[in-house]
Amino acid sequence: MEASESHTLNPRAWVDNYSDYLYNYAIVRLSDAEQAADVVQETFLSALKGQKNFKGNSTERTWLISILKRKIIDIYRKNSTSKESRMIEETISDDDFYQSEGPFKGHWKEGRGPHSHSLLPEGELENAELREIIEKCISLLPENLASVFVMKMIDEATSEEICKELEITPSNVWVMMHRARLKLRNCIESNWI
Amino acid sequence: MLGKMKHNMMVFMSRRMLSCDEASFLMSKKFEEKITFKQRFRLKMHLISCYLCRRYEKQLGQLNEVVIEFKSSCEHSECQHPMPAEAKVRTSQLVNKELKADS
Repeated sequence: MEASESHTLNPRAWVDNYSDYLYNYAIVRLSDAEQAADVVQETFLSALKGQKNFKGNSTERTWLISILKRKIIDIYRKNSTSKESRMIEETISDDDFYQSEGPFKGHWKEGRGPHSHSLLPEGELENAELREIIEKCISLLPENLASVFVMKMIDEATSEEICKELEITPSNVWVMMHRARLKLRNCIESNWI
Repeated sequence: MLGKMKHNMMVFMSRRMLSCDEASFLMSKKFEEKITFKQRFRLKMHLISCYLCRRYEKQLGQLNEVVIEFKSSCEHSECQHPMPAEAKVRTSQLVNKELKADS
């Protein structure tokens, strides 16, 4: 593709050409079929209204993805600024995994630490099977933890970008990433044992 | 001389050991942020004495690898989730309606 090539929009073919691509992008990041379908639909409608903003220096697919990205971040922001999510993410202690009292306060609860050195069973794994488990475990995370985890690990956003987009502090990001890892590790492991 | 060094070392170490929640938090934070020398030292001391956290540290590395693999396989569209047909129809109808309204 030449850099000088100018791209045009062909809205009549959008749904046929890009709905699967956009939907796939959305579902990996939102883990919710209905929400993913809605956000793709909104993307097309916003794009129709904003056609004059298309400068022709990127492909229409890239342009549509950039609109979709903004919409996904708006959903993330809504999740992260909800009141209940703010309340639980302040501390690193977690009664689910660590002892909440006694002389071993803060230490692993019986059976809640890693069961072996390896997160996955020995030997070759079917890729599809592993993907399914990762998808399932990400979808089981609380929404606000999933947003931060996906932005960081799938979209490779920096902590500064995450703080800015989700209006949270760096220490929120660290605690949320810690909690996401704690839960994901446990979820993946319990799928093999 | 050696005795005194050992004594100072013991005092330094026992000042306060990390608990597993603090240690596992630092292990995670290390991926995002530089942690201080003191934090690194205390984490090391904890890992020497705690086999569960040693496992946890190893598994966090594996978790990262697994997620990176997941990400790349999705980018090469192996993990295709096509949009459900009825959602497509609904979207198509809405887009067409908007197009008609415009023209």
